[in-house]
Amino acid sequence: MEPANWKQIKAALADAMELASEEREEFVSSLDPEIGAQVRRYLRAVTDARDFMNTPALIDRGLVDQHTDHPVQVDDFRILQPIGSGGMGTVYLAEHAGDGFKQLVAIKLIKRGMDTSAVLKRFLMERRILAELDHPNIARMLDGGSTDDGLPYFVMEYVEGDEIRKYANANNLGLEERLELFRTVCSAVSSAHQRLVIHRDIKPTNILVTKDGEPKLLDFGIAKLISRDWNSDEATLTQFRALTPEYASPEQMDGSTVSTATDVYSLGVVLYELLTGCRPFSFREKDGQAVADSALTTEPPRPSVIAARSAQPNNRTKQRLVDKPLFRPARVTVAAIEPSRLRGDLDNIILKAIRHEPERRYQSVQEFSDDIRRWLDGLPVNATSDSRMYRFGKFFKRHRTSVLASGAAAILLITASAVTGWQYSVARDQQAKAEARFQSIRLVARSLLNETSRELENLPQSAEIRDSVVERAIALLNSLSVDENTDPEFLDEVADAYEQLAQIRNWKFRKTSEAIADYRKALALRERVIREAPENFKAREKLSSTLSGLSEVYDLIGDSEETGRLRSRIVENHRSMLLIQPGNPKIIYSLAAGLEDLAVRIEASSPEQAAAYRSESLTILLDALRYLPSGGLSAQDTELYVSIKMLQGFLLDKAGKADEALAIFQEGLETAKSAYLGDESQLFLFNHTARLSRMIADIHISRNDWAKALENYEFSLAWIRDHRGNPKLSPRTLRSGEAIYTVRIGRALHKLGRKKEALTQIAEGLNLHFDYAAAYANDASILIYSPEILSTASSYFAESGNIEPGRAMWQKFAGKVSVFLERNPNDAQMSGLLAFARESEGDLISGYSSQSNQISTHDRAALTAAVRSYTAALEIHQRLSGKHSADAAARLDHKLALCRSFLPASQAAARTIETKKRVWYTVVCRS
Amino acid sequence: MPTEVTLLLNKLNEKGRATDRETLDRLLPLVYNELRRLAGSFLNREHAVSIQTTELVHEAYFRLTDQRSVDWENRGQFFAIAAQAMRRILIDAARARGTHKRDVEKISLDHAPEISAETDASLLQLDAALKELASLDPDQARVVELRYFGGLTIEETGEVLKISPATVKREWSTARAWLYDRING
Repeated sequence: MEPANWKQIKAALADAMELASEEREEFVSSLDPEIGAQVRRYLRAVTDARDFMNTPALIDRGLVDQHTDHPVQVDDFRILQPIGSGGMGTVYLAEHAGDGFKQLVAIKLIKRGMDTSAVLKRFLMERRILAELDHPNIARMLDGGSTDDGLPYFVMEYVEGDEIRKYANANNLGLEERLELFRTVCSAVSSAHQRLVIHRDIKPTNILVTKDGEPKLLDFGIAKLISRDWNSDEATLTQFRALTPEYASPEQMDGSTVSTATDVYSLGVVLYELLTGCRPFSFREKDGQAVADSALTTEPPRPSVIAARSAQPNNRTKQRLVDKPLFRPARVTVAAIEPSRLRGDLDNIILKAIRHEPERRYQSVQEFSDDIRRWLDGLPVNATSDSRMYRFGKFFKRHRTSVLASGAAAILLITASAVTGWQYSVARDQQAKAEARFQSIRLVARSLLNETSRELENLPQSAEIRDSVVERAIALLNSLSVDENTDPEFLDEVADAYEQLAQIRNWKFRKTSEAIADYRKALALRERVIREAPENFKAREKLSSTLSGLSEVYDLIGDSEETGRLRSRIVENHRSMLLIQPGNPKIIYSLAAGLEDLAVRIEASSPEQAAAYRSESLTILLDALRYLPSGGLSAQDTELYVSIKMLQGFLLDKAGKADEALAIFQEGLETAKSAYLGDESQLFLFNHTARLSRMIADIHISRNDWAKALENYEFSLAWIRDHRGNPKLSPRTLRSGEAIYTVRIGRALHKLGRKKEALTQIAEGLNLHFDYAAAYANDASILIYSPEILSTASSYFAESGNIEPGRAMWQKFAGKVSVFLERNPNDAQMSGLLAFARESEGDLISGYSSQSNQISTHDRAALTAAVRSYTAALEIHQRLSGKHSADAAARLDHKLALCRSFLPASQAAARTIETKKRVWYTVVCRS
Repeated sequence: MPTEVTLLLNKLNEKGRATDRETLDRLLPLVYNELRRLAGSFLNREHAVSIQTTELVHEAYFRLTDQRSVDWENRGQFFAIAAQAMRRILIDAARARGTHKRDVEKISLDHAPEISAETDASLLQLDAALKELASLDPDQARVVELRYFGGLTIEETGEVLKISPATVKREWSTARAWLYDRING
């Protein structure tokens, strides 16, 4: 039949089929007789074929059951069993059937259904590559051809053996033997490289070792020829076989140019695993991007560290990067290899092979192998000489922005490490070397903790780098076996480091649980020192500082019980210290301050006890003053004197003696001011001058004397502005001070009726504040100190009737707090701040006054808005625990009741609406 | 992340399908493997003796592509490839069973080898007849492949081939007649 003919028949047939059967005959008769005959024939078929192909093709069980989809014979080879299967081909074990001489071979055959042209091309390429390679450690190609169906195949040498990890462990190979075995593998890869072939899939399962101990490299299935004509084929590859992410180089993972350095990387991972039992990175999810990111950003742990860790059977590795040992007893590996032997040169060799950047690895497999040879011969290795600079380089690369701004820090680090090297090399005997190592590590850690960390402290956005600098210092110190050490000075140093880390985590990142853990570690060390020497005064000072840091964290998370317990411990510690050094004014002052703190804590529950604490505090403060030298105070004594005056004035004011308090504050202020002017390095005095001036203003405000308050605020602001030039003053102190005093001046001006000036000042102050907060956007402490300035501004907005800008201000603040809450939704302090923002907004809208405990607005819309804000605040406090939140909840309930009493709608109805809005509100706040 | 099949399908669309043999060649093994795998899991899961290709092909489509980034035209391409792959799978299986027919009969009487053998024979005949039809009328042969091996409906087949459902119906019924006559005539 001709195609043209069929199309004619088909058209007529289709037309005929659409007719009713009685009309068909007439229609067919009208056709060309030849066509008509054909149409009749097919119409008969239509009747017979009613069920033919009526349902789509069926797939029956036979498809699943046929495991015997394997060929029986390929040319002269009898197939015995499949031994491996890749994306496009299957490898069979086979025997040559001729001559009565049975030779076992491996035959790789393309899979059925996979014979598309791209697959065929790839398959033929592997065959071509293998044919070109001739090396005793590469499985040899013996023959090739096509099956009867036309499927290509090739015959390879069959390697009987174990994969390299299993072989090494089963034969309990020692370190040197493993290295020699590995070098033989290198020679095979290197020979392939010389023939311009890159393997690209080197992994333990592709390296078999025969009974005679000969390693054989297998599977060039995705190998690449380094020549132009095959480049186009690149993209095809991954379709046929997924890369093995654990061994694939970063450039393979992100699809960049592959080179011989790619094989260097995979070999490096194989060696890492061969010597430690673990891989440098483990990737459970085989997401290419995650793997590439991980290899890019994390430095693999040093092999010696991993080997030592897996040597301890019950030590579950905490480091998530580290894979579980691959072979059941990783201890087999470790038993054969002493982890400490890997430390240093071998660490460096392996890490050099698996560097992320190809150009920083060994430039050839040969070079890699040669460096191992040098180690085996006891010669200095190339990898060690450049590793130190590289490590610091990589570390700082991760923090590029901060480091650019602090070149000093980088120089410091490098200098410190150079000193380490120098001290190490000049030391003669082992013990001296050990001592030199100890001292130099301490030196590096110390410089990291002191100079570097401090250098970074005043840089915006530097908290993260500080965190890692301090963490690194701690790791260094821990490497000096802290547990066995009893040198109090050394333990102190480690505790200091933990304390510094805790401070960063608490204040900068709001990672409170981590901060607590760090403080607890510091605390344990401090207690250890004191247990050894209870009379150690200095150790007790440090104990107080750690206790107070830790108690602050508990205070932040609202655990008032633990805070109180720790604060009592501080007081007790100070009493002990006074036994060691009676009449030490500094300790007396600290004790007085501790007592005042305890008084605040118990004020509500037992006012008599609080009053007793306060009166003891006031009494001993007079003692402290007596123990201070009269006249000619040293800088430290001046500082103490001013602090005493401040506390004394505060306690007097509390006791209702405002006039006496004013006089005491004034004395403190004068002393602080003139002492600072005499020595501008006394930053504490600078801050106290401004602070005392504010405390004086506070007393004036409580007496409604706004003119005097204004005077003091103006003094404070001028004080800050006049000394901006002092480079030692922290820009943070200056900027926050400037903002707060500007706002306070604004409020005072308004109170004094100078409304226009007031508005200007408030606006300027808030701008200063928010600019400053934006500059330290990642720093939670800015937010913690914000309520003071914002509340002052809010009072102004309330008093001047500018409700809307005030609300906008609180909402902006709430937004900033929410950013931190999103990072850590359990942060009690941030939650508290958010509640504070909501409540303050509510107060502003409702015109709530704490003095009268009443609200001033009766406007329905305003009341509804206030209810919304209060409810949001209440919800937060209900989620939080602790007395503070309980008090706040009660207060908010009261405020809500006040608002509702002016809302005519029935309570129930009002509540429903609020609930709906609350949901909306929460969503908005969180977004 | 768009799947590999999605990327290839979109690439196919960019280049114009007729010329891009290479991309089709890459797609086929992927679809083939997925369909085989799915067939295995379907049959085992449901204790079914047999299933139709229809749900298998649709399931493969949902598994292999990211539907948000595949446009309608590429969906058609997918079904065309899937139908082709399904045909290969079934023919390969039938052929393989043919090769080992004696073994099969000996070993697994309980698997009703007669039915399988009969189906296999007619399937291989159908495949041969369809090849002949393709040489007469390649477009009509594609309709058969999509309908029978891909399990597509009249409408879906029309969408893939960009012809009206009425035309699909005419092509399909006349093709059945031709094939039946060719095999049994």
